[in-house]
Amino acid sequence: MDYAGLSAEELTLVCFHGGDESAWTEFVRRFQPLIAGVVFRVARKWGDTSRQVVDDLVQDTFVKLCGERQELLQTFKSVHKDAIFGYVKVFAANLAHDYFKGQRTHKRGGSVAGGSTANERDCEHVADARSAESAIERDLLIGQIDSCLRGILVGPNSERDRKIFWLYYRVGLAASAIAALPSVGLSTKGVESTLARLTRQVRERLSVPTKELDERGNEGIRPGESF
Amino acid sequence: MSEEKHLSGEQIDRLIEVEVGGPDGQVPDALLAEAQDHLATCAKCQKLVAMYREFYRTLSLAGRATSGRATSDCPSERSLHELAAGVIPLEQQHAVLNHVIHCDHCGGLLRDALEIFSDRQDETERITLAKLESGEEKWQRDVARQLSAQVEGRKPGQVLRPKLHLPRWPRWAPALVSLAVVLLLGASIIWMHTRTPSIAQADRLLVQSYGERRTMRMRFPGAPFSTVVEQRGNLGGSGSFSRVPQALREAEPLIAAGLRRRPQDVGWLQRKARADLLEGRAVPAVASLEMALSEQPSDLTLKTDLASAYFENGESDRALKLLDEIVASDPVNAVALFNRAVLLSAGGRYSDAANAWTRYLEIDPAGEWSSEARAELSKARTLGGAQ
Repeated sequence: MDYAGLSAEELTLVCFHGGDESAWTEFVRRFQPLIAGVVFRVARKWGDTSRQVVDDLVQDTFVKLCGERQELLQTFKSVHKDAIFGYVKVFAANLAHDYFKGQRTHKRGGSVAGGSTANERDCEHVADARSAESAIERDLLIGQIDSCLRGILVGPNSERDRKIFWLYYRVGLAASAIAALPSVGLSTKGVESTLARLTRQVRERLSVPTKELDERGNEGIRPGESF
Repeated sequence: MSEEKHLSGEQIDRLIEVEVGGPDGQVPDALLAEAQDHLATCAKCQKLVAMYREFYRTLSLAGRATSGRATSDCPSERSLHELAAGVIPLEQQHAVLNHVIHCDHCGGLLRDALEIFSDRQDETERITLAKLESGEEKWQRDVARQLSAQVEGRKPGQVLRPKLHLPRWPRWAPALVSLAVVLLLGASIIWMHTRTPSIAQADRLLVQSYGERRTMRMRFPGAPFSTVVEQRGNLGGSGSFSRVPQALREAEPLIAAGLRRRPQDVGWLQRKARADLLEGRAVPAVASLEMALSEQPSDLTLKTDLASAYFENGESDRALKLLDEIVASDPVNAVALFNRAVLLSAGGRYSDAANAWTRYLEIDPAGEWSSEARAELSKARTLGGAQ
């Protein structure tokens, strides 16, 4: 059978239902770049990008995917065309994170008896005390902006727009990342224009006197053009 | 009278966007230059731009999260990964997003996950991935063979079919099978425990030995507090402490067995070095740890132990350099800070030593090692003052 002609989802189903060696060869060939990319990035976050570790984790991902295929078949929901790639990404990322967490626990385990863990906690307390003041200020600021947002936002999209605002300004997501979230339901341009509108409205409420803006009207050096 | 022209709010936004990194070069240079020219001469617009800048500065504070802590309300990390990968059911997505926008901990995890799942690749990533063995055809064929064999061992159809012809099992059968499995597992664990040398067991013995008889001033990660014993005789590599603790005597054959099975194993090399250090054999400890570190160059515990070995071997400069490296990458590493202070005190650099002990006590003000640190600090201050 020509497994190369199957979609990723069809191929996965064939393999998970007991595919032969050719099916698995195609599966490994097709998913290795995706899994290796995810594993590499997780490894980079943990500061260990040796090729040996990445290769081992890629192999572990395949073996575990195969080992848990029956459970995966039960939980897999094809929420969209490329959902299988998302599932494999999540699977690989969780496996890699678990590995590095285990490694760290193992290494730290060596220092527990010596009191380093207690020292780290002490250090956290010192850092907490130092940052407590700025954290309170930040919470107040967020509360002020949020109540301002709630005052501005009306209509059926108000909750969605509020989420967009905070995903951008508080969580730090790019407009394109926000647009990629299905529940947002907007293109990147749509997210950008929502952000521009909300930012302007919040600014007008919080900092720039409305009167002054009114006096200036909408005029600019080139009213018809925008940067 | 001609109407006065100024920058619009949108134009000011764009100017500030350019200042802080810009909208990806989408602003035509001519328009930007024109707006900047106007701004240079218009006091009203300058004032307004200053107000806008202040607003954006304030807004940016909302994004400056300290490391948030997880709470019982936080969704699982898996849910955040599923959200980032776009495979979470829509109804769950709303709930998770509602939480994320209020939680710095989950916000950070979501940001990380989006970065991990992003399609964009940088140069380092491209180069590393291109060199992976798992990208080679042979590796992929081997793994596919392994997976196919794994599947053939228990295809759902093959498992189910024979069951149809099996007689009904008595009700107590599952309990009997469970008991047999537990007994088998127990026997296997006991067998493994007695037959395979374990690093954890070696660690327990080394820690016990250090606690019973601390023969070195420096610490190794995991070592409990105890006072340094008075050394008798020559330390010159012969292990001539008057009494070797029983725990250390037990640890040594265990470590030797571990190394016989896996001569290059980093874990066993490190334990051998610790045992050597506890017996005053600095030279073989240095050799073992240098070999281990060449395998795992970023391992901080190896660096810490190697610094101790250098120190015991009289190579204080190399020890200090290593400890400085560790502290630079992990500023609250208590063991490294402690050992660094020991080294400075021993080297007669009392002023530096006093600073190092003070720094140590900042992160360990009340731990079990703090009394020794306080005594050393006091000594360093006294001797430093006398210099």
